[in-house]
Amino acid sequence: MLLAFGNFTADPSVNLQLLIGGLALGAIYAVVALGFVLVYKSTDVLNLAHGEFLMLGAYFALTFLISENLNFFLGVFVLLLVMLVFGLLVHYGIMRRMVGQGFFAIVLITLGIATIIRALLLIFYGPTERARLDLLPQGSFEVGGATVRYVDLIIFGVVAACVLLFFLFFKYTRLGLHMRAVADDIEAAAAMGIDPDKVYAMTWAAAMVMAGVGGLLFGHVTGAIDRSIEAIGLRAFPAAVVGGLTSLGGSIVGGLVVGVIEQFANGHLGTKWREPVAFSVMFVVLLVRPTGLWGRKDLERV
Amino acid sequence: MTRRWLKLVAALFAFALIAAACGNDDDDGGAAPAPAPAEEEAPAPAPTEAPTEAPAPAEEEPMEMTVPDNPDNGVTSDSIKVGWMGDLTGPTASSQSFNSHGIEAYFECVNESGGVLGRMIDYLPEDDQFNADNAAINFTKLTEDDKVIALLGLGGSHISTQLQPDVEALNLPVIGPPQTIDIQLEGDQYFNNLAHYGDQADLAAGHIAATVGGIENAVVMGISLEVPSGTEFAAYVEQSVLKGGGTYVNTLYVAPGATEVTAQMVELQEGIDNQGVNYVTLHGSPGAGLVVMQGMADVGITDIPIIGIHGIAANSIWTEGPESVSDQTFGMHSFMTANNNIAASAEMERCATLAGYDGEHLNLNFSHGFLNGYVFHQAIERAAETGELSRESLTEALKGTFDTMGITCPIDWSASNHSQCGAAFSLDPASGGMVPANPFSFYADSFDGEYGIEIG
Repeated sequence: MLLAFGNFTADPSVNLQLLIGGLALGAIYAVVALGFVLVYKSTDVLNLAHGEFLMLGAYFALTFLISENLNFFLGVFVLLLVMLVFGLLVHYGIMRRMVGQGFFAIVLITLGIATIIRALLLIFYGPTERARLDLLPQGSFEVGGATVRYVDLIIFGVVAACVLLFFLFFKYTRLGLHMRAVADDIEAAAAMGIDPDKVYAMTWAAAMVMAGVGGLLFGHVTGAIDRSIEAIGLRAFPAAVVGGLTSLGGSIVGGLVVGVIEQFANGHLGTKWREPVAFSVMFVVLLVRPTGLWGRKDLERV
Repeated sequence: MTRRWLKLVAALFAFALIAAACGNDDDDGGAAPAPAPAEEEAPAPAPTEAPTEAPAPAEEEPMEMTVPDNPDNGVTSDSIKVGWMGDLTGPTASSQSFNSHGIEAYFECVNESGGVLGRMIDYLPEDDQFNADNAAINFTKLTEDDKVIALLGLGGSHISTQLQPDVEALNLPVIGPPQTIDIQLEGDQYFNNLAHYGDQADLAAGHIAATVGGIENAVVMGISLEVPSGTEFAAYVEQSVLKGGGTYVNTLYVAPGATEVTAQMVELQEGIDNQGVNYVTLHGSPGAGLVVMQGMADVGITDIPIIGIHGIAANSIWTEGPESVSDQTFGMHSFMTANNNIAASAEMERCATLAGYDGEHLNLNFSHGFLNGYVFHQAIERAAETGELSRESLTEALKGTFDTMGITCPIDWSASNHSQCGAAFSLDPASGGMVPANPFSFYADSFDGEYGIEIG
């Protein structure tokens, strides 16, 4: 039943499908947002290369799991190990030299890293798109006339586990405590004997591992693996901001909220409204609550 | 300690790069499609036109003719400069880069056999990444610094439109751009051999009619990228389907760069359930096509055939797409690949190898580029007969008929500057190349020659 406004339909099964599609998309946004949050929370760097990091993860997943045909668990281990090494390389090769530099200079550096990653992928993999990964269960089942894919449920589970893991890591481990201390006050942390350099290195490594996980998962649900998938970084940005750039839990809620809103905008208003609506939600949240829904509000001495 | 870390990082980084490079060599999704062992495989089915006996580039007789230098038009004592503008590393590179490779391969063979008119062909491809600003810079470089005599290709309808006044002002011939739009039909400098969007829509209607037993039985839904050419193609399809008495339900738009199409699939399913949609037309790049096809497979829409524009006629649609959907998918194009037993087959394969593009002779865009090189070669010799080689003499020489070595229909640009030629293609798994569902001649009656669609 089509009503006058856009493509609006009141059919419950249609809306349920949009909701499920939105949650699935939101779970991917949450994975990406988690990467943004991890780096920002610990280093105060807004990493605009995170979409490219995730794309790198997807391409490496192709290499190790499809081309090299490694055992799934071994392949995932190698993928995450290589991503970890890339994270260390990003820190020791580039970001370490930017500590203490201006915010925008560092953001520009992350854009430069993004450009280099895109160029390297073109050189080593060529311009042709690849089939998405199919290593996780590919089937689906029906609920109320809507299709639910198993792979989406797996992504939900992995994202929730990652958030829980990072929450426990930050709260209960020594390195997590060091990360929080450095993020709060780098000079005070250094005075307490914490090596900020090591902490930052670990942060970039963890963010890159998270991007590896994201690339592996996203590689299972995107239509094709090519260099356009880096756009997921920009599209997930509202999710990270809505949730709060310093909140791990916020990233998952922000991801799901933005994913669902985007999907309904696409379904009921048309595809051209998809991103304007998502970014509008971000603007509204920023106007009402500049730190995002769950972000930390820093106190600054005036 | 820090040095140890750095060494470890450097070693692992090197390992990762090597692993990535090895992965690319091993699978078939890289820059080149999986090459079929052409000497061992039987020719692909359905050779559609009788192979012509055109001379292959390397077998050309050395030309006796001489023409004076014209450095202002790219003709020096030892070279003839010709340019190409398109997307080699941007969002449509997976289509357009093959086009450039085809041209390069043809000229490699020509230069290997001594060049043309006593000169080597200096091929100058410029990458604009599908960006109009980059294209404007490249255009200035090619026309003012290099002073090329012609462009073989000018990628992107927005770029063609933007540069149209400059192309006309410079009398610069543009041979075989990777899209044919209305503004090119109006100009004097474009020589198009890829079917116009309107022609492709007519062709789609013809193919749909053949599949569903008459266009009046067709209930079509379009899926287009949300870009101007997507709207234009959808409007032409609607016109062609309605004209034949069929039903055109709606056009669903997909944002460029979209990675999933849940909402569009919901609407497509509604169209199937409530309005009896039995055919989908698809506009977009191979990447966008794969996103739509995966979306269809995910929600179980696997019994609706698809006919796509030339961008969809890429090998990756069948090698990388879900089989349940790609089995019923065709993409329209105007050229034959080397697996189709055409006169150009052997040379296309040999030149591809010579240029370092093994296996790309099985890609339709490579065929297009190869043909553009061949047409340029014929035209430059014809222009030289006037005693001078210039953009003007080349433009005049292009207003004639050209042999195509069976790659496309015979070209006749004496009356119009475009070529109504096309067929619906899919991948032949045996050869690894593209094959037409029917010969070009099967679709010839579909073209109505109407252009300049009004978009509401």
